[in-house]
Amino acid sequence: MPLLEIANLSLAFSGLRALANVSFDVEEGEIVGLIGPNGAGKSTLLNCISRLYQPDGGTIRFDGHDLGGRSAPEVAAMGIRRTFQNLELFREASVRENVALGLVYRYGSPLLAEFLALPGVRAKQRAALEDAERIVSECGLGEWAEARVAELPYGLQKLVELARALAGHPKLLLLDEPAAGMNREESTQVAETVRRLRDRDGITVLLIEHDMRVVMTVCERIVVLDHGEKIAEGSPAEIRRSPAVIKAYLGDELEDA
Amino acid sequence: MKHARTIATLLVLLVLVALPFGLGHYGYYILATVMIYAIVALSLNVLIGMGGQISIGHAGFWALGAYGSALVVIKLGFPFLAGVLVGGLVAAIFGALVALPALRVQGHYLAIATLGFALFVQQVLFEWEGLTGGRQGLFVPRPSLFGYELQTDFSYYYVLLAVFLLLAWITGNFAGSHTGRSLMALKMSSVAAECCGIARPIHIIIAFTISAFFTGVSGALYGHLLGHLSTETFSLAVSLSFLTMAVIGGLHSRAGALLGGAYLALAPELLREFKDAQMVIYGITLILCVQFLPGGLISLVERVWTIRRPPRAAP
Ligand SMILES: Nc1ncnc2c1ncn2[C@@H]1O[C@H](COP(=O)(O)OP(=O)(O)OP(=O)(O)O)[C@@H](O)[C@H]1O
Ligand SMILES: [Mg+2]
Repeated sequence: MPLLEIANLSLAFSGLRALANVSFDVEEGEIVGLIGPNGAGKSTLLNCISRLYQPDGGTIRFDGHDLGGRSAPEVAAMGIRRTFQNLELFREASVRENVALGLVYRYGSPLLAEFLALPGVRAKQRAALEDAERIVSECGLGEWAEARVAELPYGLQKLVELARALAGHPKLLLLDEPAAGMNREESTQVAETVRRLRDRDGITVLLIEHDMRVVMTVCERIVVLDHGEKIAEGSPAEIRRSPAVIKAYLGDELEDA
Repeated sequence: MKHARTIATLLVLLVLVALPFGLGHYGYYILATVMIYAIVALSLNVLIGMGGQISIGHAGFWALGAYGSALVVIKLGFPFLAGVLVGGLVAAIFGALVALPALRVQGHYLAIATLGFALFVQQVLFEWEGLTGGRQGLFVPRPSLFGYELQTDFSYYYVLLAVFLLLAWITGNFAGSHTGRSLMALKMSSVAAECCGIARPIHIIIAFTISAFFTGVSGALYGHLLGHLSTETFSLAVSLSFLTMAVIGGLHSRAGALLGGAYLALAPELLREFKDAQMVIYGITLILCVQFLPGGLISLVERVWTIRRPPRAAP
């Protein structure tokens, strides 16, 4: 059974077709790329999976469960975590707090106990903090743990988002253009990180990216969207050769890769 | 750094304990109202400062607390402190209900919804003569502890101080708790928070419930201070002055709540000569504060405080 099954997914925004009958699967442990021209519906698809958008039609199944009717926090708790194309950070909070907020929901205490800061509550807070601290340093953010996120450069902010997503111990990680705005060296690092997350931690990854070098090196399978429709699916080699893809998209993009 | 905070807290406590000495009955009364207002300011710290919600209906919760406590003390013979708790709980129940529109609407619409709630409460209390005495109002017994009546506002002030400190401690615990931080996360970015597994509805309901509880407790304490309740005490102007004091004191600080309470208790005394122009002065103060001192009076204190310490190393 695939970890993620998307079947006939459709969504229109006041008449504009953002997704039209899109179907594909993601197997457990796979790294799948989602590519296509601007406005193709890639981010919309991710937003449907994380339940920020309600699709008009079709189904999404994760781990065998239908996601229809579930809320964003519920699917997050099921093990789907993500980053955002245009950064959604807790900007006024520190790096450590951003990461901690990615995992606190797993360390809940009764409200009355929290009011009184009972010893059990403090123990859970310490445990959550240690968990966060470990992820902060694993992601190489240790030096900036205390820094306010809003004051960090863009590249580090993206890293904080990734760290926060990892704090949820995801089974499925959705990355929306993780290498956008990065130079060659940085985007290579992103590709390596994605590989490592899969190889070492067994995290399944669905990745949107315009940087073809990253997509072609890291993804095992690629799904191509255009005007909300899936126009191709296959291995990087197959996608490179696909006439439909070259016409719709790759013509320009491959030249930069 | 941590040391400096402890010393500052102890100093403030010392001042608060020493304050009534040398004052007269009127002074005690004013100090008592400082504490009562400061508790409301704490409640708005939770709702607005942490939760990012708005309310111009807190006079409604205040009224529910005041009448709730007075009625169980008068009609059911509850002891004073139990009455205060009941007052808080009654308000809390309505707080949870008022949270429901907040799950759908924000900003101006929420402001209007909460305003409508307060007007509704005031009207119902006024009309329900059998229970509240309607136009005549209700006489409320003096506060008493363990069977002893607190004859003067001097002793009552210390009870109020203790309640304020207890609620301030709880507020601090909540601010550091996972639930409190999740609430603040939702305020910073609800999209991000929800994708971190933090559910918005329950946290908004919690924020309104806590805030209403605190304000209900304050209203209950106020009723026993006044000795007489009438619905005029809980007008729209009161809701607005609560909001004003909370902003002017500082929405992100317990000490700021105290300053806000002091502002609301003292400003009418200092501005008495200005009569009807008072409202204008309040309005201008609020606008100036929002414009130039968004952190409230407490941020001014903190600024002076930090000048004397070396700045923190930049990241
Ligand atoms: N919330 C929304 N309301 C209205 N229209 C939307 C909304 N979100 C997306 N759209 C529209 O849906 C289409 C698909 O947008 P989407 O953001 O999914 O594209 P994308 O493939 O991620 O593009 P890009 O590569 O530029 O990020 C676009 O035409 C966009 O304007
Ligand atoms: Mg996009």
